Amino acid sequence: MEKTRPSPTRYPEHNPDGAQPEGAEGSEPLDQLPGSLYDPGTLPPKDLDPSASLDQFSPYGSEGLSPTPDNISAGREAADNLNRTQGAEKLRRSDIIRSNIDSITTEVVSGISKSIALNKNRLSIPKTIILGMRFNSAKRKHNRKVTKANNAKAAAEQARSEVGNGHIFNGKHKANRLERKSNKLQGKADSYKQNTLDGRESRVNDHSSMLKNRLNHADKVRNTHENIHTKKIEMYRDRKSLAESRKEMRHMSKELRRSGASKAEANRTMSEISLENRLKIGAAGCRIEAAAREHRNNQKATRRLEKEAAGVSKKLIETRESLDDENEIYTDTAQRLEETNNLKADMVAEQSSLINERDKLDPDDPEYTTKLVGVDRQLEKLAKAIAYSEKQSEILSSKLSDLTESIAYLEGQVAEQKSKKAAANNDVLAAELVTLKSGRGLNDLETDQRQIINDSRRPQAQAQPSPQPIPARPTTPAEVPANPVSAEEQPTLF
Amino acid sequence: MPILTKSFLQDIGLELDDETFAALADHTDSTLHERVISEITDELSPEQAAELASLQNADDDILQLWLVDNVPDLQEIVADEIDILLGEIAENSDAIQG
Repeated sequence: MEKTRPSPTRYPEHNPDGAQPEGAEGSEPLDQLPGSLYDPGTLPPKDLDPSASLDQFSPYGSEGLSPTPDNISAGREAADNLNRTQGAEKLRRSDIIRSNIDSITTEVVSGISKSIALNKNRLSIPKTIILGMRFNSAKRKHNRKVTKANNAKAAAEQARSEVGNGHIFNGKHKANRLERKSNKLQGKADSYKQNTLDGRESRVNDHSSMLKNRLNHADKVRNTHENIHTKKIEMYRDRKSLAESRKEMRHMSKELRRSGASKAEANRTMSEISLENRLKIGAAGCRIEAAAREHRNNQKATRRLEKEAAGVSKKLIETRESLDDENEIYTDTAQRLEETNNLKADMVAEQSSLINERDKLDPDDPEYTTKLVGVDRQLEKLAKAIAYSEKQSEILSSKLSDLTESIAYLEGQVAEQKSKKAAANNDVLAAELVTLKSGRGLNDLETDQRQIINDSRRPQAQAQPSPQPIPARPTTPAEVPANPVSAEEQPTLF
Repeated sequence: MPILTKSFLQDIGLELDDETFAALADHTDSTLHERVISEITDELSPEQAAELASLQNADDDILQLWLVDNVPDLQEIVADEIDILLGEIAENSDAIQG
């Protein structure tokens, strides 16, 4: 951006050729301008050898004016201001400053951007999906069982409608069997619902409410820590305070040197003023470092405990699922045993009926032998079927016994893992509380350090030794103030 | 590299359209430029200021060498002014957004 040179209004003689500058016509006569510079009684003598900067001031030419200490000091000051203005103009026209800014900006800006890290909340989304899938699978299985039961019932009703009167081996027997089968299938469906489906639905609901609680807790933890933008703004504010402190110290060091103190004395004075503050800031920094280290360790411990608690939960879920499966098998086996026993009872009843029928056979009947052989054959088949049923019954009973032991073991495991899970959750909560406290402690220490930094600036401004009046820091010739300019009066952004 | 970047604005929660961002970036660069020049000229002794004034027609290379010799705190000055400027923008982010 091009900047025009401020027009000289107070020093219209800034024309080395001596020609009347533009706009000077009708302006105030030189000898009536304020200040002793144009006082005809204070011009320097002819034989005065002014300094190089004084040569640029035409009032001190060869007019035979007498210099005074005030005149010389003011003249030197004005000449110095002019040099600074010209120097600043040269720097503006060149690209040197911009190239220096570019080379430093990358380092400064990239250093700032690495300072803040974000926390992320972890949610067990895959577990939700798995539980949902298992629940849906159980629901489909239950529906299939119900459908099977209904189909058997329909078949039983169909068979019953076709039953005629007569022998036990006609459709009536089939209808009874189908009806028993239908009842057993319905019982299986109800038992499955009670032992498996309801349990899985309950676990899905528990998990859902657990996720909601975790989300609420995560929101609370997040709200307890400060908003990330506020933190970053505070960080930039701190950097600004530190930079202003360094700038202030540079100015004070320069002013001490200008006041005649040697560089060593100036540095010693600055050291004395700032040593105590630097020590305080350094001590605060050490405390912050230790607190930050402790906070990081607490966070690591919390994450480790959360991982362990998640592992315990997973194991508990798996054990519960195994228990459900064993219960399901037990139920099936028990029903099969009951069915086998019922079938055996039917066959025993049939056997008794056949024996009675054989006893009632008339030996005088010409078909006595044929009928007797037929009944005996049926009795033989029944005896074999009854023996098979008994064997099946024994096997199923033994299986039931094994399943009972297995279920008891798994129930014990579930109880043990439940208590482990509760203990793990308590540990996680305690660790989260400790982490929260250490985080708050760290914030408090950072606030204290900021306060120390802010306080360190005020005593320095009051304690500067200044044997001579501090010269003004003008920005342009038109703005040479009578009083010293403070840092706040330089061009501001807002 | 420009002083004002979009990542810095995101850090302090500031969202600006491209036109406003470009205007603010230009204004920031020119303000920083002026402040650094003001600090440098203020750091100089009267003799150094006279010397700088005499380099009106000098090349940038000569000027750079002169700055390195006579302004040893140049890097610190630039870094401090950058920090102060970014801090001011961060502090006034609400006013800028509004």
